[in-house]
Amino acid sequence: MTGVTASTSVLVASAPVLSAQAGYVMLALFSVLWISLGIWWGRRAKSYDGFAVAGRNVGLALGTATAVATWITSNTTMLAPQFALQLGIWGALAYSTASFGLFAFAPMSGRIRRLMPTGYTAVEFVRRRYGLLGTIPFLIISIFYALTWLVSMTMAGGKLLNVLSGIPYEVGMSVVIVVCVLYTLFGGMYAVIGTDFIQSLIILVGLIVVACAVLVKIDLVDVHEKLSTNRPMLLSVLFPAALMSLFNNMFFGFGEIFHSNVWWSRAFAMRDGVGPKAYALGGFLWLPVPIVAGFLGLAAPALGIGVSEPDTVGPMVAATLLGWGGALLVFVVVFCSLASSIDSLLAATSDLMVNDIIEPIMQHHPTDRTKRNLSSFCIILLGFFSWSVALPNVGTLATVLFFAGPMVGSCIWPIVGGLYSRRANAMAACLAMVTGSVCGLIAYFTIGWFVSSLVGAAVSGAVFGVGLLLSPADFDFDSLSVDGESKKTPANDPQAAGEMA
Amino acid sequence: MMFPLWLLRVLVIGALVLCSMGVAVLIAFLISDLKNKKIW
Repeated sequence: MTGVTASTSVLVASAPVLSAQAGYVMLALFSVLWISLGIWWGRRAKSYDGFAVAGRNVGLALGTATAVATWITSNTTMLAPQFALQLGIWGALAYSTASFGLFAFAPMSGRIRRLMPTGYTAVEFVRRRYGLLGTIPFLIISIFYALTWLVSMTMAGGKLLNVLSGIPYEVGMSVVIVVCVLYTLFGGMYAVIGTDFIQSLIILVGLIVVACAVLVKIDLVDVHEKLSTNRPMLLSVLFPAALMSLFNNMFFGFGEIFHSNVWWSRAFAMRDGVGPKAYALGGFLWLPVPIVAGFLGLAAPALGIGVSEPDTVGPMVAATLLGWGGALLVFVVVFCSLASSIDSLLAATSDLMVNDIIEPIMQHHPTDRTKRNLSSFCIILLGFFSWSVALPNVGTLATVLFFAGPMVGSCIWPIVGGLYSRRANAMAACLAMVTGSVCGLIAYFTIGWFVSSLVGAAVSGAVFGVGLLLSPADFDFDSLSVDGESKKTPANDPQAAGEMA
Repeated sequence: MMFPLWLLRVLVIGALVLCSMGVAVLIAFLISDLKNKKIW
C-alpha cells in the first residue's frame, strides 16, 4: 500500500491501556447481551422469510439504523483515522464519500423491492436478469468480496482487542466471530437488524464522546499548526494520491453497496416504501462518521503519538489521550462496529449460499424448514472459514479490503443497467465484470490501491456501454417478479430460453 | 496550497453536530414507529 507511513514515533503507545481483565469483562458483557437479544428476537423468525428477510416488514427506525450500523464497519473506525494519518484531510473526506453509495442505493432499493417483491438475494436478480452468463462472474465476485470482508472484520476484531486490552489476538478474534455466529444463528435477520439499532446508537454516541474528549485535551489550532510545520502534505489541497483516493473510495462504495447482498437483503427486508427513505437517511447519518474518526488520525502527528500499525491509530489516540475511559469507550465502539458488520455478512452470505448455490444444485425446491436448516449450516460454515483464515493474522486490513475494490467497482454498471435499462444484455454485463475486474487488478498492482476501483468501474462502464450499443436486448422487467425458477425469462440467455421451450 | 484552519474547524465541529443529530433522529424514528406499531 502506498502513501505516507507513520514514521514519527515520539510517543509510541505500545502497551495496552485497558487491562486484560477489563477487556474480558466487557467482552463477556456484550457477548451475553447480543446472544440474549438474538435468542429473544429469534422467536419471531419462525419461517424462512422471517429468518432471511425479517418478514419483509422492517420499519423506518430499524431500517435507517441498520444502514448506518452495517456501513460503520471496524474499517470505518480503524481505516478512516489511517486515511487521515496518511492522506490528510482529503483522506477523511475520501472515506466519507462512501456514503454516496447509500444515497445512490436509496432509489434503487425501492425499485428492487417493486421488481422482486419475493426476492432474497442480489445474485437471484442477476440470474433472472442476465441468466447464467452474468451470474457466474457476479457470484464469484460476490462470494469473494463477502469472504474478504468477513475475514478482514474477524482479523480486525482480534487486532483491536489485542491493542486495546492485551487480550491475545487468537482469543479476541475467536470470541468476536463465535458471538456473531451464535446470535445470527438464533435470530437471523431479526437479530441482525435489531442489534444494529442498538449498535448504531452506541457507535454514534461513543464517537461523539471520544471526539469531544479529545477536543477538550487539544486545540484545533495546535493540530493545524503542528501539521503545517511537521506534516504539511496532510493539509495540502493538491495531494495527488489523496485526490485519487477521493474518487476511488466513492466508486468502491458504489460497487460495494450496489452488488453486495448485505444491502439487497435489507432492501427486501424493509416494508414497502421504507427502503429509499432509510438508505438516504442512513447516508446522511453515516457521512460525518469518517470525519469524526479521521480527526483522531489527524491529531496523532500533532500530539507526537507514533503508532507501529497505522490502522490502529484512531483507537491508540483515544486510548493514549483519554486513558482507561477512552480505551473502554473505543473498545465498546469497535466491538459494536465489528458485530454489526459481521452479523450482516453472515446472514447475507448464507442467503447467497442457500438461494444461489445450494438450491440451484438441488433438483427440487427445498421446504421452508430445509432452507432454514441450510441457512444455519451455512452461517456456521462461514464462521468457521473466517476463523480459520483469520487465525494466522496475515496482511494489513487495507490490503485485504482493497483487493476486492476493482472487482466490486466493475459490478456498478451491470447492476444499474440491469435495474433500469431494458437494453442491458447478458454478454455486455459478463464482459464488463470480467474486463473491469482484470484491468482494475492490474492497476492495483502496477499503480496502487487508490486507483484500482476507479479503473475497474471505468473499464467496466466503457465495455458495458459498447455492449448495449452493439447488441441491445429488450428485457421484460415484469418477469423479475415471477416466483420460481421454471417461470423466469432472462434476456439473452439461450440456455434459459431453451429450458422454457 | 493548504487547507485553512477554519475549514478544519467546520469539518470537525460540523461532523460532530451531524452525528449528534443522527442519534436524535434515530430515537425519534423509534418512538414514532413504536407509536404506530411499525417497528417490524
